[in-house]
Amino acid sequence: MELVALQNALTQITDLGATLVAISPQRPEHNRELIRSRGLEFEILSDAGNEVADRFGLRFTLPENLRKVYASFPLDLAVYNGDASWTLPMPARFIIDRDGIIRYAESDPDYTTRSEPEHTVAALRELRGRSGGRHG
Amino acid sequence: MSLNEELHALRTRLEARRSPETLAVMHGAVDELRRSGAPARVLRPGTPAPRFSLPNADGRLVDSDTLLAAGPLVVTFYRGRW
Repeated sequence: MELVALQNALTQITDLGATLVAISPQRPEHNRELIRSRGLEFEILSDAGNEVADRFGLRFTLPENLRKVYASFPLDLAVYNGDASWTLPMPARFIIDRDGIIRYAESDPDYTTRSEPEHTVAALRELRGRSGGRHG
Repeated sequence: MSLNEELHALRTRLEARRSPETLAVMHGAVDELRRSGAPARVLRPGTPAPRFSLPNADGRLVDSDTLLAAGPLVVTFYRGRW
């Protein structure tokens, strides 16, 4: 649902000179299926073990009782993600400027709350204004 | 409808099918994550972003430096489609 909302905002994002990528711990085959079934026109990168998510401060380990609940759905994250770490990223969105500096960050431990794409687009617009007309 | 209004509607629909015990575990885990101070460890604006090189859906490596050469980069972290 979040990725479809981002797909709907993709033209606004690219018109502002930016690139959008998603990062997910799930295996590439699941990302391929998601791109196909939802008609996504941006990349989803596979972050095995949530190593990159950890460097952004987002990785957490699922408590034992939650693993059991997921297993009952049934959902075996170890198989789905191809690693046995039982970790996930907190949902989050960042804007990184051309110099590699984070200019916008929004995250929430509650996985049912996600950044609105329009916030991201507004932040990109502001960043472009601040860069004094420099391309991108 | 905004994304979060849609998510709220979906949550209401899905949670109607779960037992109170299951919901208590799921909500408890979110509360615990919040209490643990995890949100304060998320990188903030003004800090350098970690560089990364990760496989796309076709297994080809995509690296952040290449993407940044073209302009600003929006990165969204997604748990999974399950």
